[in-house]
Amino acid sequence: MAQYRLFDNIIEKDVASSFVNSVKELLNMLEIEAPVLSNSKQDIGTEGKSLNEEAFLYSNAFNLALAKKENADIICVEDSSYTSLNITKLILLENDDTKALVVNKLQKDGLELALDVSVLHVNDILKDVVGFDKLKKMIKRPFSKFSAAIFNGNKTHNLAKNDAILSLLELNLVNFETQNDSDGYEILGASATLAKKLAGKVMLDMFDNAADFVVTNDARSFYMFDKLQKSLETTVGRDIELSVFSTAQIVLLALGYDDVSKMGLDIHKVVTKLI
Amino acid sequence: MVSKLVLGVFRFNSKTDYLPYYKKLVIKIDMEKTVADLLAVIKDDEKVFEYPTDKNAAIKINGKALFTSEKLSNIVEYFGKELQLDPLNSKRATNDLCMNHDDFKNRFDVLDAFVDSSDKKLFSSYIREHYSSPIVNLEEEYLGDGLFCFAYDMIQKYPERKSQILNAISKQDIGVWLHVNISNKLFPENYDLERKVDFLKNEIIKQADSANNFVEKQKKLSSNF
Repeated sequence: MAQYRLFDNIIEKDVASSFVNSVKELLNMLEIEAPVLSNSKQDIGTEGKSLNEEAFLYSNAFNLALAKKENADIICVEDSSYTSLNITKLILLENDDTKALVVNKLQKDGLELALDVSVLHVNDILKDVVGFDKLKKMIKRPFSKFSAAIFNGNKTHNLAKNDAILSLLELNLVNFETQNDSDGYEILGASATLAKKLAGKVMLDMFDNAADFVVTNDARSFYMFDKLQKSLETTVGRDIELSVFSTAQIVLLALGYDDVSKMGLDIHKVVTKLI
Repeated sequence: MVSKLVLGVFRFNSKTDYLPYYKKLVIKIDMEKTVADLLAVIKDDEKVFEYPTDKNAAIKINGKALFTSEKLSNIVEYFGKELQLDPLNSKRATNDLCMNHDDFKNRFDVLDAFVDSSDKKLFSSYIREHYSSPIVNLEEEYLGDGLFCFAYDMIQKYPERKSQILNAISKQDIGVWLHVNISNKLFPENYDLERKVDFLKNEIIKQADSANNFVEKQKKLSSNF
């Protein structure tokens, strides 16, 4: 049986800690053992990569090496860390010079480069390990009365899997034009005004298409849509009031879980009316 | 193979129309033909219809920017047979799918002093990247993703001018720091732009000294990674 380690050192971890807590609770409920990957380095996302690629590659390679040492696969609770770890594997497989640099740095930490570690998204676990048949039988509170806007941003991979999981819960998925637009996070440091205009436009689009809430699996999008939502309302000059969840949080709720505080929903800025 | 396409075609004349509209058309066409061929058929049917025909002619289909040299079989394979045709940037539309490109053309001047005039041909090929960024509609002075692709290419071609080229694109309020990922706005999807922008930002950070406060801040930030 595969061994797993949960990667909890996510980008914007103070704001998006509910992403981690919810997956912990979900895996516990599904009886999947996945202790936290200890001593990991924090994900700096593709934003960090664009400033210091060497540091990005090293920190992700470090995390892969830690998992290898424990002979485990990594489970990511959100999209940024999933992308960072997988991109790192690809870049190091293709570039021998960069790889040599990273190998050298890891050696000083007493670690060995490990590009064969599987990096899984929690959605992979739901589909491929738990299985949709089992998951469907466990549903206690279907979401058939709700419509959700799924925000994918610039991501193009694994979208069908996410849609399939949410559809399994009978959730109605809303179509909206800005589903693949930028949420502005990547330019927040350079221009908060423009970043909020981008995020505000997306949120209004979701609202105007009658979404009851937003689903995103990216901690950066959660930062823009939940933490900054009040500020986005000022930017666009309208009330939004849309709660933001991850897929794992919606699954947990559908399975009948209702410990809001353990899931971390009590620290979301926009309090949900679903519970 | 001949297929039937259901089209919504953007129609607008800036001299006579207040708002654009979409003309519904159903056209049978050989899938071995290109988007440019399809546009020619539309013109034949409509009589009055304008679309870009230059070497880097590009439009948007179902929200993604592409060159009109693209084969229809590739388009239908990805998008299906219901297609919405728009200019690259509807806010700059002048006549149907044609638009005013002056803002893009003028961006060449930013690097003109460091490159050869023959390099302009390459610059012009980045028109899709320029108009696919949402920032061009929010910040008029934004240098644009097309220029950043070109800057990368010119650093490879003239490495001795790297520092000047990087300085020219590093301003906080109009430069490369405002780039957002548009890989999924291009057809075919293309990650070259992201790779090039990452390179440019990394190189700006590595520059010894900078009079730019924002760059200094980014240096400090990245040194803590």
